[in-house]
Amino acid sequence: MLLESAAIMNWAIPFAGALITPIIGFIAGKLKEGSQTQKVLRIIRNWMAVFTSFVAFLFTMLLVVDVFNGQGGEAFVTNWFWNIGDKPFAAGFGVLVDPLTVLIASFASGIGTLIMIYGINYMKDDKHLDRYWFLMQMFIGGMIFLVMSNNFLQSFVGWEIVGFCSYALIGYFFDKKGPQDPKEFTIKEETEGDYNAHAGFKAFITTRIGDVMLLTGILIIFAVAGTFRYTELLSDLTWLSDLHDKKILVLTAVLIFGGPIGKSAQFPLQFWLPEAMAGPTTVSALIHAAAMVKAGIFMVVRTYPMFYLGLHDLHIENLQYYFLIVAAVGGFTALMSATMGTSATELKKVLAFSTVSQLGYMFMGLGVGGLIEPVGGVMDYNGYFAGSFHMLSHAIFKALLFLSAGAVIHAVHTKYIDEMGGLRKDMPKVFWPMLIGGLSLSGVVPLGGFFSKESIFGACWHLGEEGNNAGWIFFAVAAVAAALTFFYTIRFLGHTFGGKKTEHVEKAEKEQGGHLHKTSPLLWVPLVILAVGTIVIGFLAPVVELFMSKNDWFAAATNFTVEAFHIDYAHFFGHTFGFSPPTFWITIGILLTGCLPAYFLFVRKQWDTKEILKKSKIVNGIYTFFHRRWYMNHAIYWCLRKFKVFAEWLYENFDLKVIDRSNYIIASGTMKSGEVFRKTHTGILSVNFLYMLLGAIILIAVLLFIPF
Amino acid sequence: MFQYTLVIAIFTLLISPILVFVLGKWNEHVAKWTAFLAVLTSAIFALLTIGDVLYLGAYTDTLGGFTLDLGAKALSINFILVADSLSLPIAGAIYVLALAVIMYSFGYMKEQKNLGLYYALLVLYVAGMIGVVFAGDLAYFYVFWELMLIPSYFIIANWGSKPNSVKIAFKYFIFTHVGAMAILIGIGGLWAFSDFGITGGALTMAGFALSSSVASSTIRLLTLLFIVGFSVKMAIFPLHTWLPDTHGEAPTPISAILSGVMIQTAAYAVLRICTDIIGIDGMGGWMRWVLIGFAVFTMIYGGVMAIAQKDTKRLFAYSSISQMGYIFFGLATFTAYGAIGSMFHIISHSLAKGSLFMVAGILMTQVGHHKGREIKKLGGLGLKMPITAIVATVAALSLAGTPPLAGFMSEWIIFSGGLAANDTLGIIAVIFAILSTALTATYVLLFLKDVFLGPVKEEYKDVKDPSPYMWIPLVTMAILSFVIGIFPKSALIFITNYVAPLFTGGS
Repeated sequence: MLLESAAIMNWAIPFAGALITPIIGFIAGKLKEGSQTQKVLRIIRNWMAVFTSFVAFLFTMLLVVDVFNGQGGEAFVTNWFWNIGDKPFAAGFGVLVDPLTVLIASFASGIGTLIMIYGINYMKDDKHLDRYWFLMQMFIGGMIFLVMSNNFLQSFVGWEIVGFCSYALIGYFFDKKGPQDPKEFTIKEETEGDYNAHAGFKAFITTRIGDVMLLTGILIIFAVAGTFRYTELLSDLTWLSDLHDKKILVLTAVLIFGGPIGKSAQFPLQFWLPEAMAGPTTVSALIHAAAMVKAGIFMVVRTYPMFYLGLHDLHIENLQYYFLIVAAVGGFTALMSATMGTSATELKKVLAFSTVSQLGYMFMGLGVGGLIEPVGGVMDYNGYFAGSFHMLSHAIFKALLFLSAGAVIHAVHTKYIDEMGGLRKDMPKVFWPMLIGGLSLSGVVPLGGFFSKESIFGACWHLGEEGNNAGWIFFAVAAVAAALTFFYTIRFLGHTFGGKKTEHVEKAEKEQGGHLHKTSPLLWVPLVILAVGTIVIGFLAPVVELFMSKNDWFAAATNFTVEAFHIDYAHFFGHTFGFSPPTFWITIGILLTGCLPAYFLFVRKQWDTKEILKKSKIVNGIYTFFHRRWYMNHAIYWCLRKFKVFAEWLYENFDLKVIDRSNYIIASGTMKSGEVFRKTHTGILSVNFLYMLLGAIILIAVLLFIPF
Repeated sequence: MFQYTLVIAIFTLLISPILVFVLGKWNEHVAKWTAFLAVLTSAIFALLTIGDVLYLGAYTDTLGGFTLDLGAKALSINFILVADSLSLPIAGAIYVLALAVIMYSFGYMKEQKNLGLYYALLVLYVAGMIGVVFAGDLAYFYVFWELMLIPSYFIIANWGSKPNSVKIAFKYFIFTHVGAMAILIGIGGLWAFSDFGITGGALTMAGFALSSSVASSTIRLLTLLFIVGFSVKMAIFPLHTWLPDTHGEAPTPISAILSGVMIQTAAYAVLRICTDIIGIDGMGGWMRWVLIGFAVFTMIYGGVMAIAQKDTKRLFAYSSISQMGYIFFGLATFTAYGAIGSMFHIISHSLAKGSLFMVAGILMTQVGHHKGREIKKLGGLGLKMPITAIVATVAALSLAGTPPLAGFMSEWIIFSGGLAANDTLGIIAVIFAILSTALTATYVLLFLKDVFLGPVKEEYKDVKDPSPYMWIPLVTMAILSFVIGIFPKSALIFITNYVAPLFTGGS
């Protein structure tokens, strides 16, 4: 009972908070401006958001305990739609408690709480906070709702709630200026992120393309299997063979994967995420760390066992292409956005590219894991765990990085890393957490990022050892991307905190009275908590792994078991990770390749980077290519512009000039033919008689030739 | 339980226009409230049938009839009104939108002349639509079908935007009337080919049966007549060109009704006549794929055209064409899911599109009758008129099929109808259909962005939300959109009961 209500409460309470927020805000708005009651009401409104997310977190923690005790499963299954005859119509409504859902719900609500606390200070000067708090709570509620659902359709509802909230929050400062013509966006690479309303629009429409694919996939599965429920779909896999017989299985799987491609910003729909940091920093943190982009990973992990069993239990060999596509899309995105990260000039944009890149890692881990053969009835857990665990550790360090970036930008009033510098001494409470976050992002021992990334490396290595050459390729891609990650991490850290203070920073200091404002505890306390989390989570990896294996309904539904792990570090490092010495040393080597040049370039400032760019045409060319995001953004805008032109052309030349015109032609033709025929009605008797005779002859001729 | 409630509901609407008109000569305020109350009374009486509909399946009122003895074949026409689990929810949608529109007209039309006549015609127009939905006899169905046309013609000609309104109204009249001719021939054909042993020459819809000796090509032809006739009203490509003109130039409350419910009565009629009475012989086989082809093309075409529009009302008009494509698609799949989804979409679309047209009207009254229509000239109004902006967002998202709003619930059911046929062609059609929701999202969000977002322009600094008469209906409809989306059972409990038995035999 406790379990059931907790699984409802952890999303219902943020929703309720969201609905109460505008009411409180409305009452406060009606009171006298500046009165004491109004202030108190507004404080209640702000802290309520913290409170609801925290309560959601507590309820999720109850579920963690339940799952550890093996009490997961479905609850509250009711019929949401009406029956067709005696056949249940479509989906029920219910919740599903299992390690995956609880894992995501816990970091969505836990990190969400910290972001809310941070937001109270960060957003304190804004005028429209009702909208802000409403959407933030809706966002967290929607994310938890999405993962707690027990069926596809309900997940899709949460999926779109999250999508809408991100649209509205990215475009939060919507009254900023924005050009009407998309052509203007790409003239200067930096400007696009300034147009909030446009950035939100871009995010919504791009992810919508993914949603279209996802919904199609879901409905195809529904048409064949007759249910949306995850448990039913997994326990009876005949729908996989049915789809395979129709030759659309891989298509369906890829369509399902289309949703994550959009939501988690993978190639070719990755271009919305860099602009998504147009909104307030808290929103970026929420989108990149706790919610939204993690929804895509969730969907792939959720469907992973189904396709995995299809490949390895039903032996539908075609499904390996699905996993290959997942891994390839992930790997390519990881590499591509890492290169973009090395040349981005805005602090938050670097972090955005790193998010895209890290999400690529997760997909790569999942795809590779799906290709690994099960051993003796035990489902190989490498990739599945690697992807999920990287999602957790990434959530923590990325929230940390974004919130620290917010604190920096808040202090120096610029978002360009060129204009920052020398902040290490002035902002120690931001510097140290951000350093930890950055190192974790690059995968430095012994932070969380190291363990999670290492497990993905391990999965690739494992696949290679199994004799699948794709494994080596993915390992190489992961390695290069890791080197690039370390490179750009050092770059932005060096630019921000290292070196001397720039003119801009000195100007900001003067404006604030000689030195930068002290960072408020509401800002740095969340940072410290997240930094501690980043350090601790790596050592908790075996615990998380044990937790992820507590999937009872999964074990009950299939004849595969999930290996029961013990909290055993030797076992953990030795077998589970494929963490054999070669990968370890290779990793260290890779990290040094990325780190050393960046260290000399951006921290020691041995060489002047601007000089290098000026002198070497090749370096400059590569830099511009990366900086312009491989020209993909330009290409998209070109297509959109042409499409609009085409639509307008079609409207003017086809709809108006052909279709509509033809109606008038028919109308005037009728009139004209009436006039023509009117002339035959002459009224002259002899002519009429002639016509009569002609008619009679024709009639007789016809009668003669028709056989009766 | 009750008797003659539907008769009272219809006759209230048919007779009260006289009262409204006469009162209008004396005092227009009394007239407008009389119109509102007349529709409300009618709605309450229609609602009284809900018990019978839920527990007995249908509620029927018969008020006499006559028989023409034509030798061997008799033609008998009866005044029968039926409320069943299909007509009641659709009538509910019409009543909600009609009440909303009348109240909205209080604010929108207040500077116009001759309002007594306007409200009288409006009520008569509603009477036509309600009559079409409740008619239980094909002959009276046709009578109400034409009654729907005439008052709207006069309203558009009289109160539409000058100077084109008369010409546009004429175009509207000719188009829909040609469609109606096809329907009339179709009804005649139904009578001629009916099984006289069962029907006895009556045109009553319930229990209507075609003679078993009719050739299948004849049945195809009959279906085609109806489909073409109704397609004009539904504005399926290439019969759509009257719609953007009419919806663009009609006074905004009428545009809301035209787009919100009137064109959907044709979809209702397709289900009633083509699916229910004629059945699989008419719509199955190759015919299904032709219809699906037209439906899918219409939704994408309407969406692309909407993107090209620079005028708010024409934008929503093309969007209506696109949305009618969805509804027609659901019907054309000839599956239970498709038909259920279509009927559900009538309800959700009436809420969404009705609201959007009224938002366009609010922009016209608050910003300026010409400036308020041109999308590129607006901008940044979100902070100036928050209520309108929020309502517009809800309606736009519902239109784009965003859960948990009503639009999503109906759309996914339609799409799964396309897949239920279990055919590769169906999958391709559905992919295109779902793709057009992305188009929908694009044009509605572009509208929101260009009108409500961005910096506030200097000239619009004093723009405010309109009077409560104009936003109360909108807020109510937005809330209904949420309620129906979160509890889809509330509509499906009715629709499914009617639709599901139609398909239990065949597909």
